Amino acid sequence: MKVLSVILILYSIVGGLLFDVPKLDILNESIRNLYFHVTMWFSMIFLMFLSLINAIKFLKNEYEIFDIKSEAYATTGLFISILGILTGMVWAKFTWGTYWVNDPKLNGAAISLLIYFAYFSLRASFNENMTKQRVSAIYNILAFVLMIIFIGVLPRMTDSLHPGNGGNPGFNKYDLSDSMKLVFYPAVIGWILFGCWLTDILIRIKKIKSNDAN
Amino acid sequence: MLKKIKFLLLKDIKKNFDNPTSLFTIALNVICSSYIIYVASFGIIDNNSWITFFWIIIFFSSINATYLSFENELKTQALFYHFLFSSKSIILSKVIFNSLILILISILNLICFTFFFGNPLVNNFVFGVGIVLSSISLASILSLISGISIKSNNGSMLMSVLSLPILFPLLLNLIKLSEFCIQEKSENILTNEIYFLLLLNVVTISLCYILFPYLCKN
Repeated sequence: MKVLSVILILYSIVGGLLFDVPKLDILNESIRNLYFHVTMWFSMIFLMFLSLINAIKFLKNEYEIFDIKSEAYATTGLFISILGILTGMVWAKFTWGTYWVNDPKLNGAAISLLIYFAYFSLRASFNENMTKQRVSAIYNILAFVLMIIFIGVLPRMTDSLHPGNGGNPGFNKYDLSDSMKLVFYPAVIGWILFGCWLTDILIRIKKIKSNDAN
Repeated sequence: MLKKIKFLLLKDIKKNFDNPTSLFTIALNVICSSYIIYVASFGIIDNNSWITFFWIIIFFSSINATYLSFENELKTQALFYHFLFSSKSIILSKVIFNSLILILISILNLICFTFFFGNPLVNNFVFGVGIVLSSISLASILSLISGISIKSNNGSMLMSVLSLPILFPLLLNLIKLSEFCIQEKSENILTNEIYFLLLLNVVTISLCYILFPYLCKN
């Protein structure tokens, strides 16, 4: 898993910087950022989804391991989404002229960051372990569902600076040529695997810590 | 179960009308905030600011109003309640009660705003529907979050931190709905925004219904 993720990400960096890209107005060469920015958001959503699944599992049978996993996935998801927002800001500076604009998708990104920061501050405010785990699992589920509504439904109803809007907020047909797909999909898988690898390490550290505590 | 929900609801209403201090506090909160905006803006604001201030005041006062809704049910008399009622009937009655309170808050806020700044709305009916629907979804989200935050150590601070990012989609949607209400006077109430509010209501109420029992477990 680690080897594959490193290979895929390296490939996406090399390929992303060297392969042919379609020449579009305004975007020009900055379209290469698609390989990094968009893939990071994909993997962030995927990691948050894993965190949600573990939260549901925890509520079902209350094994501590699921809580540890859920928190670890949320941590890596947050880390990758911060990376995603930074790359997005660089891209926005070169194409739209500013680092931040009032755009439904940027709001969605900011809100999902805030939601998961709130999740961690909720976790920090408990003394008792059992209540903390259960309550944070509940908040995790609530937050994820509403976040999906926010970034999945609301942008479809408005115009956005992002491509493919007023209908489809996902990425779009016109600027993703075949040569770009060759890099794009491996990059998505690479980032997801990278996230899972990081999470795996976090989970192990936390397991050792909780064993020490007991 | 319906009987129990009705009983709990009547109990809440009776408690609040017998001792209306908390209702007065909520009303005072709304009036004070809109007066602050009146003073700060010298009584002249354009339509967009009207909408924004209107909903922001509603959001913050509803966070304050619902903060203590589970004080009895989850803290002081928790055991007693769970002996008598199922947690599902507790949450449903709370959601209904809180939506009534929030509808009252919205109406009071509308009166204050009309008094201070005038009323730019042309499509009153759609706006009313928006107020009712938004109160229900606000009430269901905030009830669950107040349950969460009352279990933690620093509740009141956490309540706004937890609820504000979640309420964001609702706020944006409501602002868009009110812009529609200011611009056109059409009979068609089934706009995208109303559909979105209905969807949000279904999702939030079912989430409350599913998740609250886990919160009560001890």
